Amino acid sequence: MEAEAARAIGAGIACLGMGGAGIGLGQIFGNYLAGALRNPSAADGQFGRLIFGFAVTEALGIFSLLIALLLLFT
Amino acid sequence: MATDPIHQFQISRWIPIEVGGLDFSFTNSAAFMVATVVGAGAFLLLTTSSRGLVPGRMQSVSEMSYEFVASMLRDAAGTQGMRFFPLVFSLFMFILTANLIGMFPYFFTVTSHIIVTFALAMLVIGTVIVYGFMKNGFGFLKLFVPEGVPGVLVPLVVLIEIVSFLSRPISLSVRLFANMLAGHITLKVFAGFVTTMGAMGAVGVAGAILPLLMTIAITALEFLVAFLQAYVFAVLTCMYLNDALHPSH
Amino acid sequence: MTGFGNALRLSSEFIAGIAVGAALGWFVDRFAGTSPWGLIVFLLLGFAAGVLNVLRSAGLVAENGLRRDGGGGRQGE
Repeated sequence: MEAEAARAIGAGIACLGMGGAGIGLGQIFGNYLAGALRNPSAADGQFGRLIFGFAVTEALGIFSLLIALLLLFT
Repeated sequence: MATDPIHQFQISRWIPIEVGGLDFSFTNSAAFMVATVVGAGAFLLLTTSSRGLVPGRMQSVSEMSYEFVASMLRDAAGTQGMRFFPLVFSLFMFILTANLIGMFPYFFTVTSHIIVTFALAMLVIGTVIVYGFMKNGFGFLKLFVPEGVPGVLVPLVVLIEIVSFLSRPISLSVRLFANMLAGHITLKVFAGFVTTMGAMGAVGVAGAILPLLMTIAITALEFLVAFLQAYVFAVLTCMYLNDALHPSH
Repeated sequence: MTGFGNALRLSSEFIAGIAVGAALGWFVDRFAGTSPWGLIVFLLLGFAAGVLNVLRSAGLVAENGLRRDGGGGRQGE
């Protein structure tokens, strides 16, 4: 197999990791919404923690994006 | 192809002009920019020319738009910021009129091209940088050093703030561009459903009522988006200008 | 502001941060020859800047103690 093709395939496989981050983000926002609908008055106060969870989860997705970009552009 | 939803964004040369190998052609985009400027200017001039003490209906529309932008700027940047009123008001009126003109069928939407919105955003950020350095000198760099950060973290935070500052023109331009592009494509796709279903006989015509209603609803939504995006652009411009006026956190 | 507009605004802020970080890192690598470290460092910095942008436009990090635009994150509830 050519090295260039192997790189492109590797970048594609690395992007699968972002799917995991996507599942995690869906869980976070879904659970936030479920909690917010049960107790709307507490929802505003938890928005910061929502963003915190979003950032930590998305960081893992960014790592796999990083691997993909490294494979493609270096 | 008539039902191609991307076709409406194509730029065509109306009057080809070439100077020294560079393409300065008068395109449909340029024509609608001229139409936008002329339309906005003529509206403001004609409606306020009577100078009634008790404003008529159209005059009060002009005065409302003036008051709207003025109070927005005063809230965000204080009375010092009022020197930027001509810039902010022109930007607001240009984007609003361009968005609204784009809502006419067969008309070209100037703001659905990223280079146009990016140029507008760079104008804003360029003004912020130039004026910030002119007024504050190197004190403008305090913008990147927030207070109350422990000493070890300062280089990291400064780098993050710089990247955040650099991402402003991108997000400003991409937001306006993406909203207008997505809205017009959605509109075109749903309108395309009406014609394709209408061609399928009596059942198709009955079924075409649904996408037709959808098209009407999306048109109304698009008018809202056209206004909102002009508003958001102007508000963010005010906030960035405020950074130029008062850089220290 | 509509919920759709709000979502587009927040996501464009986040993505702009990452895009600018990646572009900066790529240029740094290209001109300083520090491949691949520039891309790694600046992409992560861009990610942090994106989160900061989101927090700012949601009104959670006060910027200069002034009024925020359009209500931001308080609007959806």
